[in-house]
Amino acid sequence: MNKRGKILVSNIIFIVLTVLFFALLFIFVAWKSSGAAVYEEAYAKQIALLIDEAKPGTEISLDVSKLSEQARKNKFNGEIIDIDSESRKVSVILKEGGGYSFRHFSDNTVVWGYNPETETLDMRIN
Amino acid sequence: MNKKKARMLMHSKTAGERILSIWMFIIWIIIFLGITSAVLAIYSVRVNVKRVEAGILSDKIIDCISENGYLREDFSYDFDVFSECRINKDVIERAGNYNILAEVYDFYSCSKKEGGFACEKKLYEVEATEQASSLYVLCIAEKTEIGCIEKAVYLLDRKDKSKAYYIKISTASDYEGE
Repeated sequence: MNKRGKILVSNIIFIVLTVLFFALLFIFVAWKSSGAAVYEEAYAKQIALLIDEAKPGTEISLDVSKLSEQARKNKFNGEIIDIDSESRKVSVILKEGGGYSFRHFSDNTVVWGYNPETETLDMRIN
Repeated sequence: MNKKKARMLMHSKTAGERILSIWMFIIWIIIFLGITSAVLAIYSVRVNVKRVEAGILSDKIIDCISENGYLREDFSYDFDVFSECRINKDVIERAGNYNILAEVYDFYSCSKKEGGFACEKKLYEVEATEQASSLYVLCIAEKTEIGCIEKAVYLLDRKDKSKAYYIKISTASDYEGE
């Protein structure tokens, strides 16, 4: 191989390695900063604490448009929020295989529904 | 590529080949480690609500035992905090580590101290949770990962107006979520 050929091969290897390195770095940062896990945890805790704090008869309407946006971003079509009255568990799921649950200790029952038009979580504490 | 060619590629003196040195890989590894550790440090931070939760728990108990400035008449050492204050026993005892401790003092045995009262005559205490003592010890040791709250309330006796109580509510939460 002559000198010009050697320079070309090493340049190609260098470019491929550089692109590969920065692509991997970009994918990692994008994956981590999508924030789905942070949103899941923050909203599950917020909803559980709202239920704990509320007195019977309280009606709460919580804006969860950020959750819907994240679920759309992650192409997740399932139920994003679940409040289980048996186990008293508030679950938020924004991606397949993800999800975070937090229990509320209040003995009050919660009647709830997700309104997809206004993107709000409506709750009534009984 | 055989060994000889690889060595030639790494050690030849042309400008383009000089970049493909071991130092380039070391610099890349340093950059990669720096960025990944910074991203992990930012996005793995947990939302800590333990103190808020412990605060809500103590507010709930204070609301429950006080009636317009008077202590509930049925409040005694065997008071069932769970059924009377609408707190779910299963969640408190099974889901996580919580502490609920109410100490009732004779208010007239208390003297003013910096940041509250110091009372001498303890009448009784209500320890609602089994793990209360161990968590209470950790709270005193000021373990920052546990949410500890201590609130106090001054209440009168409904029947005997000469009696007054100083009630110290200590609550703690060490529940992380699932």
